[in-house]
Amino acid sequence: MSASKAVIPKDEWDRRLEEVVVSKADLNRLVMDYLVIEGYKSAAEEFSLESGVQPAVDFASIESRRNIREALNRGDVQEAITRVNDLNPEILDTNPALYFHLQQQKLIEYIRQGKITEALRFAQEELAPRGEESPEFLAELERTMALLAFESSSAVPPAISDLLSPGQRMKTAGEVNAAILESLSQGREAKLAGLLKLLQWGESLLEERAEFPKVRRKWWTGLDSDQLCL
Amino acid sequence: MSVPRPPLPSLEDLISSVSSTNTHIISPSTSVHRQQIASSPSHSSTFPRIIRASNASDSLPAQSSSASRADIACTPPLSNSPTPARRTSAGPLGIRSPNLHRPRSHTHTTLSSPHLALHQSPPPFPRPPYLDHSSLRHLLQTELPPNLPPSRYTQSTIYPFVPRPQQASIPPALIDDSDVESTASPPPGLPPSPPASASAKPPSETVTLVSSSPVFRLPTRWSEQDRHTYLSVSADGRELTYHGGSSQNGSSTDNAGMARTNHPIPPACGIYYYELEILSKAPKAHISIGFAAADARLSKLPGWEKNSWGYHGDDGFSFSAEKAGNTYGPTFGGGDTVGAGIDFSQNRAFFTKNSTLIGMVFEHVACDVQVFPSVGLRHSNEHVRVNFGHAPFKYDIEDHVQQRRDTVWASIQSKPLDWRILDPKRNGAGAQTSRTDVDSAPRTTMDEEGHNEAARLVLNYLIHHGYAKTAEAFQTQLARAPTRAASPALPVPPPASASAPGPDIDSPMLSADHENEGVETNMLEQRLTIVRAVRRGDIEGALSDLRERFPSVLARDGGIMRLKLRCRQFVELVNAAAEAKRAFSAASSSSHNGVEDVDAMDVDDDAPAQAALKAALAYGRTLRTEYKKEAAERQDVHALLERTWSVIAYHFPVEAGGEVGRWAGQDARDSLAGEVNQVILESQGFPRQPALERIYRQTGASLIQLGFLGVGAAVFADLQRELLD
Repeated sequence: MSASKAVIPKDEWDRRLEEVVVSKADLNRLVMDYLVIEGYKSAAEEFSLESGVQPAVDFASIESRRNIREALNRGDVQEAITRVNDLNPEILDTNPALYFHLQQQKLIEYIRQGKITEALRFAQEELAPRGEESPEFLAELERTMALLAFESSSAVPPAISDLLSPGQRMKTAGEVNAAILESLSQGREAKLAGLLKLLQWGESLLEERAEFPKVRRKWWTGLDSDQLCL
Repeated sequence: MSVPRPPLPSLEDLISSVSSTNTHIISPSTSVHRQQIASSPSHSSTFPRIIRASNASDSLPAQSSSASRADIACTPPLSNSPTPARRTSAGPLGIRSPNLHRPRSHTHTTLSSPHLALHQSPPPFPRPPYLDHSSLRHLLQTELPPNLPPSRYTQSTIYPFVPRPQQASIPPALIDDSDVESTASPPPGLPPSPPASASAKPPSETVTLVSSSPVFRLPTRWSEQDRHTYLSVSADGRELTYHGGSSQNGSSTDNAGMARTNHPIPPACGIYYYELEILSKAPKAHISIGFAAADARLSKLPGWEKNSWGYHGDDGFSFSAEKAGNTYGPTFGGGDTVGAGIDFSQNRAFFTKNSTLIGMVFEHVACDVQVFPSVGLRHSNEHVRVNFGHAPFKYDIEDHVQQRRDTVWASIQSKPLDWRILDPKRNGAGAQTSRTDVDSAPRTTMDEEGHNEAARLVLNYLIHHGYAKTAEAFQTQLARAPTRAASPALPVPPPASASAPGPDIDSPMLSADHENEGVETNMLEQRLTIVRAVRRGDIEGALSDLRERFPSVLARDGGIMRLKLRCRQFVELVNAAAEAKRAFSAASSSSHNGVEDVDAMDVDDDAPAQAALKAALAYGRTLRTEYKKEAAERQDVHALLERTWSVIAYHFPVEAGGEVGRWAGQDARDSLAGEVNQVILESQGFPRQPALERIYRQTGASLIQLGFLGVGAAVFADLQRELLD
């Protein structure tokens, strides 16, 4: 916005980076939080042994969340619903939006598999009544049903093709995961994600006011390539 | 963003407002204060209405800032040189050097005015609790010597960034003079004193800030100088009484008189708030409460002039550089308590009346100027008492700030991540085009990408610190992750994701059969073997492995790593000798039945201990001889050797406690192991910190910098509190 920005040279910035106080123990806890929230059970167990950081939840719950997530990511919505109810039936009872999104995902999976008859029956019996409950549900239902208008998936316009993407499955899975975590009084999202969002916010604000060295992806993807720093 | 932001010179404003005083340097003795007062110009002749003396802290703020400038610029001759007589008042910052006040102490005797109330300094108060919500809270200080909780940030070294080019070579007096000329309408009779704060103007000269711990001074009292002559300030600095003007001419705007505080408001507060109690009787007081910059005239009420904002008691209107005002809140008067706040996270103001919030008001408040709490009175006998945190506030400001903090945090967190900001080529023209085109449609692939990136960060961290089993388990689970596997299962992938799995997403770490994996794993194992050896004290093993596999590590930096390891080896030998001795003592005490037996065992079992000690000494002597030359040349080598050798003075160094205990014990092993790990990584061309740590630091440094720049929202994004505690 302004022509004159302060310039913070690299050595100056490096010094400031060093002045930020953070310990390995702090970062270990961030990593443990990530492993737990994202459901990497065996990694969390190993990490607990190797680093001495204790997770805030028991490992069994990590595993069951992981299973639910994996079921959704491979398209097995019914399995996921059963497992969520095994864990705590109240999660779906008290969260109509979540339950609707799971049902919507189920419909998407029918369509993806080309099971048109099942898709139609399921939509009419399960989803249509819910669509009447809220305008938001109805809009989503309409968007999903639009998928049936196309002969092949390749013809689906971009506006709705995202429903068929793995991202849609992950979105639903993330929603379920967050709801379970909330029922366990855990954070909904890994703190690591919070850190990254904060980085994004802080860097962009500071960028308006000063020139300074930015975070680069190559810091963790390897040298200048995407090679892993093993 | 349409919100005007402070022009660059305001960087320096910040610094000027930053007191460079280190509290531990200031002698806490009251005599210093007294001499300070003594050396200030005698107000009594020029301020007939001041009936009580001021205290050291209300010496002219402008001079304070010029003094601080001199300090900051590190020009000791200047700050020590005698200043012109009319400005002999050294600000609180001027007492940094003990000989500063000495030449002036003789003026003490010439002081005849009844400054006996000197002891009656305003009661010091701690930083108000609502300011704890600022992440820079440890830098916000009242006059009360800070009893700071240990800070996460190293206080001594953080400071605002200043463009470096020129040194301030301008004597403080000169700066003052330039300020005098621009003083807005000095009230009659006022000596040619600078305005409240020279720092409120963009000064032309830049200073280099040499290591000083920045402290943001909070307003603590009405300024004895920076107030209209119609107003008198009580000894404790909290009360203002109106004495001036002709009361029959009450409606005239000519009669107004305003006061500002001793310090401007640091935007690093995030939200600043104070309250005013109306002590006079009139139900509709002709009083304006609000904020004003240093250039707003003292003869006007806050809100009438540019760079001033006010809420008026007689009509309840709000004023922002206007004469008419706008309908805002209820009127206020005798018995009421009104509060005024600035929210720097949105650059708006708010007011309260009798513990009730009236509402947010004004835009662009204090965007490009520093402002002071400011109150204006217009009628005879109007009388107010301020609370800058001296006492609990009537309004629940803590809750107010807490809510704002949560809102800011939530709004930051509600923005989805855009990983493209992290791409190294984002500023390169056209370099991103292919990716950008691809990414224009899908929001969904961001999720996938985000998951992958986060996973990579974590894996990078685990590997960096050598959490090998965790890394392995994590990698196995990642490989099972459906992200990649799911795509082929789609009948036809949506157009967007078709090209999305480019080289950036197709991470080698996610594929089990990466060609380099063998080599890399090998390198990881070798590194871990060495690090673990150091951790358990097997220095010899570590040294020989390093010689074989990473010789450059030992040679690095004049061989300092080799020396460190060898010093550690000596400590290990001494520890071993101590253990051998302990084993012997234990054995001998357990068999104290027969005196002869003990004697016999003495000879037998003491031998290993003696031998171990001998070996340790021999090793240590060799070390000293070998490094004699380096020790003479390099201070760090010398210190390392001396410290190492001193371990010999203890029977059981590990249990010696304190510095020696740490130096001999497991902590030192671990930290040395960490150092070796880092150096090996560096020698292989990897960054010395894991990316996650870099990111954390980057975030922290950015937020601190934003806080210094007056971006109020940044101090509500408390990295430590939100993510670590």
